[in-house]
Amino acid sequence: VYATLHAPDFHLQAATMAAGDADPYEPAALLDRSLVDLEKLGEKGAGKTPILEANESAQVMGVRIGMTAAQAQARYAALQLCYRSVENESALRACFLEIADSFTPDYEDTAAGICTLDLAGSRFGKSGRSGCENFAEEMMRACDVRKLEIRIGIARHPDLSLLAARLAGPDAPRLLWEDGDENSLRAELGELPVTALEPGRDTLQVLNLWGIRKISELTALSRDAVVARLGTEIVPLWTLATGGAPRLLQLVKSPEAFEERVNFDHEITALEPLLFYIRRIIETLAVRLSSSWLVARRIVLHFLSDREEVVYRVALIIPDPCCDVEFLFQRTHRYLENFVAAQPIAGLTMRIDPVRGGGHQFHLFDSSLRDPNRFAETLSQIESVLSDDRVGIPSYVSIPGIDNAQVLPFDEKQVAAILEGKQKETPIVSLALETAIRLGPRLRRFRSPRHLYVEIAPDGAPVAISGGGSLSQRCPIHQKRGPWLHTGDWWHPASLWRSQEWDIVIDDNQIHCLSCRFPGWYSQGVYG
Amino acid sequence: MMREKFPEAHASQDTYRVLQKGNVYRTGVPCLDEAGIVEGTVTEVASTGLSNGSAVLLASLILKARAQRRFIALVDGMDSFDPQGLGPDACDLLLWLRCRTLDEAVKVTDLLLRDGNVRLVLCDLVLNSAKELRQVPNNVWYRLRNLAEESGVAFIVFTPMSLITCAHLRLVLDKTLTMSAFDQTLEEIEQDLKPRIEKGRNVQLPERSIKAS
Repeated sequence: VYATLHAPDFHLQAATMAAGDADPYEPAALLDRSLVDLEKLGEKGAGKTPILEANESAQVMGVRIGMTAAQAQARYAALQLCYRSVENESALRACFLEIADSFTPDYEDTAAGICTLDLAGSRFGKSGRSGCENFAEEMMRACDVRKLEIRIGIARHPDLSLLAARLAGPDAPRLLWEDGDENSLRAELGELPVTALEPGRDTLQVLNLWGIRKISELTALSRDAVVARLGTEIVPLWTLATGGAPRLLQLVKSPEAFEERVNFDHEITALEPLLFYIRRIIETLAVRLSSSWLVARRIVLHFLSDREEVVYRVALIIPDPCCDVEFLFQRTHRYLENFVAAQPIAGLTMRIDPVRGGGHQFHLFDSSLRDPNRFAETLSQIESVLSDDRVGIPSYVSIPGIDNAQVLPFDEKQVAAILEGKQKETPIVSLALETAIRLGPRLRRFRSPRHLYVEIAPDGAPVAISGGGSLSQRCPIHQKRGPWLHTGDWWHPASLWRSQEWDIVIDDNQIHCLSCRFPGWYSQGVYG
Repeated sequence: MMREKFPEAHASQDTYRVLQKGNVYRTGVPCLDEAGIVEGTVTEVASTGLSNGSAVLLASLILKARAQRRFIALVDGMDSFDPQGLGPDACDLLLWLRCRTLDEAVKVTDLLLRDGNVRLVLCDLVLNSAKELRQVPNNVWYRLRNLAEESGVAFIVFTPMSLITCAHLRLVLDKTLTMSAFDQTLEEIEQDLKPRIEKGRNVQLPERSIKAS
């Protein structure tokens, strides 16, 4: 069972609705500025704008479509003139669909001012004719609330229901319903004027010349003979005249909202009840996501106070978007484990930002991480053991004599780009640096400085060292290289520093990097 | 015969079984590849002294992994790794975990091996105190070994002494570097190191099981 909602004079209705408290039953006509060059004609040209649509009251007063505004006003001086507005029409169309959506999820946005509803799945469709009458009644009421003038037609096929809607009165929905056999429907259709089929102007003229006024008169002719004379464009009209053919609706898919809100009966102060709600919401949203073939890219949580103000906002990125309930819950749970709220939580809003899921060809071509989500979890666990400034990709600014190594946060996309060879290789800056990199043993740095006592020869070279740890006793220096002199911040006399470095071999054949910088000597590290 | 009848009984002793199962991990470092680093095994590189070339091996592993475009991790037991010595971009594919205590190092190694996303995990414990290292119970190393076997991660530990009794393979670096090493390239120092295989086998696996690097 299908129902068609038809808004007569749709464009005019959109314009009068925008006018606010205008009475929809007052004579009104619609003008289109775009049809007249107002710049050329000036203010006087406004009267020459043609009328695009006129409501029933205006037509009663003698106003006809195609008249100029001045001619129409000559027929009825108090005629309300409105200008067409695309924005208002879009708003009215959206309003129309919103009403349809409140009755059934299966509906088609057939054309401007025409909406076809499939009532089969709704409560109205299951109760036969009486259900359809109830539907029409409720629909009229819903449209009255919004001051919309509509016609309702109900029939077995979508096209037939449109025909019914065109024939319906303002307060009288039309049901083209065959209670008995198909012949009764045809008989009912046959009594309708041929104009109800909305034939083209030329076709209607020919039909008038033939003396055909009713549909029954048209269907009494031979179909092939009519097609031979009027062309194939008569076929849809003929089909409609004989009861219509079933067709599939192009259903409107309402935009999905992956957001849920919960207001707690009592304020929450512990994690467990909060997690209970969060899990329930995630389960709901995950089902919604998978039914739309989407996956979660980000989870956004808003914790609300008793005044419904957002007191905390949490955004969790999903490294490898998915809609797995367990993973999404674990990700949220792990974050909230270390979360401390300064005040009780009275409500919660969870939103999931969706994205289309990526395909994997059985891991044939991936050279990146096998399970990015799991790795992200592991990284967050490692960060809780160390801290986020001690986990990541090494980075430094090359300044001789200074250790400024640090870590940059792990970026999976960047690593993947390097692994797949998408990132350009950065050439080594200089030959000297390249040579320095290629030569010699590598240093293990003592990041907490190990201060030493150093015996200096008259020429300034170190002779022996002693200090804490394994070097508690005096260790003579067997071999040495250096000194390498460094200086920095020379442009600030206050912070100017100078240092000298020596590579020394002491007992146990340990090779140390010895450095002298104010306030004394220390070992930078050991070569190995 | 007994081995065939009761394979489980020999599981803990039989390193060859594991080596047969896993794929050889081609590090690109000749002395390590000759010994045969296998995925899902623990390899211990023990240095008898601080300047025995373990840092050179570590640097070579990182540089070769970068050249082969492999993502690896370094658990730095005493936060002693110096990326400045490897040059720009050399550490792009290295996850550096800067631990300050042995306890931290063991914990993060456990997590990484459990995860299994990083196929080569290096753990540098050379600067950690020998006393602390000896106090680590054997069951900790066994746990790490089991995790490596389960996740198929090649796990290489650099220690200041022979320490890990359950390691599938142990290489000992007992040759000390001299001042002349400063005039040698990294490859030349590597060639001179000649690590001694103290435990495990220099396995020659069938060609089909060797992963192309």
